[in-house]
Amino acid sequence: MRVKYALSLIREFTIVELKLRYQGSVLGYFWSLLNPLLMLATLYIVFSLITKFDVENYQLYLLLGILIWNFLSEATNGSMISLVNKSGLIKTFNFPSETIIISSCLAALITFLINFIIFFLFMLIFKVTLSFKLLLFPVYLLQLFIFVLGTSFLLSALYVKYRDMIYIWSFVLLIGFFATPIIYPIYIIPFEYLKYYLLNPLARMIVDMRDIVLFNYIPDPKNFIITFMISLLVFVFGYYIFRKNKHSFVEEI
Amino acid sequence: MISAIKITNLDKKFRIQHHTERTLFHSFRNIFFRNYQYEEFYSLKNINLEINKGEFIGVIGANGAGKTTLLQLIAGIMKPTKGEILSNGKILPIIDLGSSINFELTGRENIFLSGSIIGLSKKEIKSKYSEIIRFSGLKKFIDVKTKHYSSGMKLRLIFSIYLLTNTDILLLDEVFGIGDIRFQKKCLKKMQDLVSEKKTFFLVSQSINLIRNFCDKVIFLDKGKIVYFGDSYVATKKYENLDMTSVETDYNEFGSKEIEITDVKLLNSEKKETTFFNKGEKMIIEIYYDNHKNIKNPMFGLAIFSNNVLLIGPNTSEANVLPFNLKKKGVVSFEIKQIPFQIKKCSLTVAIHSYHGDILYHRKERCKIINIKQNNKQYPFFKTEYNWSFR
Repeated sequence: MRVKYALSLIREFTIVELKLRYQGSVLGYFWSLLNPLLMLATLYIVFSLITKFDVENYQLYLLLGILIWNFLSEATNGSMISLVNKSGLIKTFNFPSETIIISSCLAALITFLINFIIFFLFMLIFKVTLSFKLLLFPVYLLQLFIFVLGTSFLLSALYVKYRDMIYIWSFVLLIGFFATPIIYPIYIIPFEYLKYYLLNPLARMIVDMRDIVLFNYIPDPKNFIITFMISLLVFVFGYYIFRKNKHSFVEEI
Repeated sequence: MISAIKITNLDKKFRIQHHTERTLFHSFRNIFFRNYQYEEFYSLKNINLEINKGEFIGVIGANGAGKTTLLQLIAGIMKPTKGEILSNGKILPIIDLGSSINFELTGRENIFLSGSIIGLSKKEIKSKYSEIIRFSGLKKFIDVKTKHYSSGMKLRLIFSIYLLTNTDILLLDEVFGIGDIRFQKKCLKKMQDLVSEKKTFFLVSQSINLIRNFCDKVIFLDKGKIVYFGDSYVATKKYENLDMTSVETDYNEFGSKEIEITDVKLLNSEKKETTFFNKGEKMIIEIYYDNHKNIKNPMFGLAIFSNNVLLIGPNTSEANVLPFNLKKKGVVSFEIKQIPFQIKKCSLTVAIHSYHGDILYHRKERCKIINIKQNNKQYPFFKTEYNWSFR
């Protein structure tokens, strides 16, 4: 009964969030695509002028990185403030507050998926070889989603207590953007630093996801096991903190 | 009879933090410098209740008596500190009318959103949909965004959703008073129908008439305790006769006491200590302090309340009176040239804070009662002259 209730809430909240996000703007959904495309154009121009990375289909390489990163930052930023934004609801109804976080992340995921369809069209235009290996992509996306969900649970619970999380997190995201191979290929990292560089699980994930989609290459399953374990750990930890603080939200928010 | 709600030995304790800033910096400061200040207070204490199905229960009491907390606990929104609440049936809290509505959505979309929040399946909402629209009388506006609704229309929409859904226990928190009379009557009629179907109602209201006319039994709460539970006439009479002074003299102290308020004196124009004044007369409030930690530049402030309503709340920082190098021991006096208040009894609260008000050194709440003999003269508030001085 409670599960059914939670599921219907997740559905409603997600629909409302998607509806509201693009309502009232002339271009509607296209803003969510235009934004990464403009970013792509800027970065592409800058980085093809300054340095030329030896990457096949660099524009697609860059775009996929940006789309994945946008999903991550949109989901975590949105979830972090969502509890406080819905404080009225938390104070007046007895419902599982997890649904707020989950639907925030789901809305970001759906936006990503729609963007990915457009990305797929670009792939066709640039004649990237397609293969059955693409079917692995959803598995990698799922682990990224688990990672993002765990982070979101943690951040939203912290944000209720500490309002400066929003500044700290935007700083972490900025650092993360450059510490993850989005604009540059991973081979520019000097070998002796690589093991430190790969402590960032997102670096491993993005490299693998690109290998599958763009380079028609099945990544090392050992790598997948590592990132999947990290994602699970982040999820368990984030959700544990969330559960522990859940009952005090109504009093502290 | 089967009981709808049974509450045993219920306590609810809250922590009030004097630091309202919620930043990491402040928590670090609090951990390292140990000025983490909070105090605990009981919003509800030792509540025992048994409510039968089909009863219409009124809840009355002054602001801050614990009425909303009681409803939030029954609804399961908060957890009790101690004790147990057993409920039998689906509960619908109607505590804040706006919270389940999203103003960017249309009336129709909001019916589905609010419906799911209160626990209806999509199928249930669809089956009730036309009935809800008929009851609200908003057919023409149902595809208009609710931000364009008047406040009465919003109320009608929300109430129609809530009242027409199938719940067993409804908790209403001071939600009447807006909306037109016709709709109010329609709602009350619907509520009576629901009661005859063995639905249980809790109604928090300040309207004595509403309580007397509709409630079978009334809970009278005062300072977190049940003073009376039973006949609605007896309860409302008790509430009306609630002695104001008994509330006012209930006094509390807070703070770190780095500067301590040792005494507070009220003086009249002849510098005699008294608590009786005439309207228009001069009043001097003297605050005696002991500056234990040699704090240089604190802020002195006071507040005069009449039955929980603030009349004036001056402080030295606001008046730009700086004590500079405050003495070890001394007196701060505050002078009102002519008392302008139109009430017979009010209470005095005195406090010492740090200059910017972020640290509380000492606060004595309701430490003095001021009696004012009224006359026909008028003394406008904004012309009242105040004066702070240090000795």
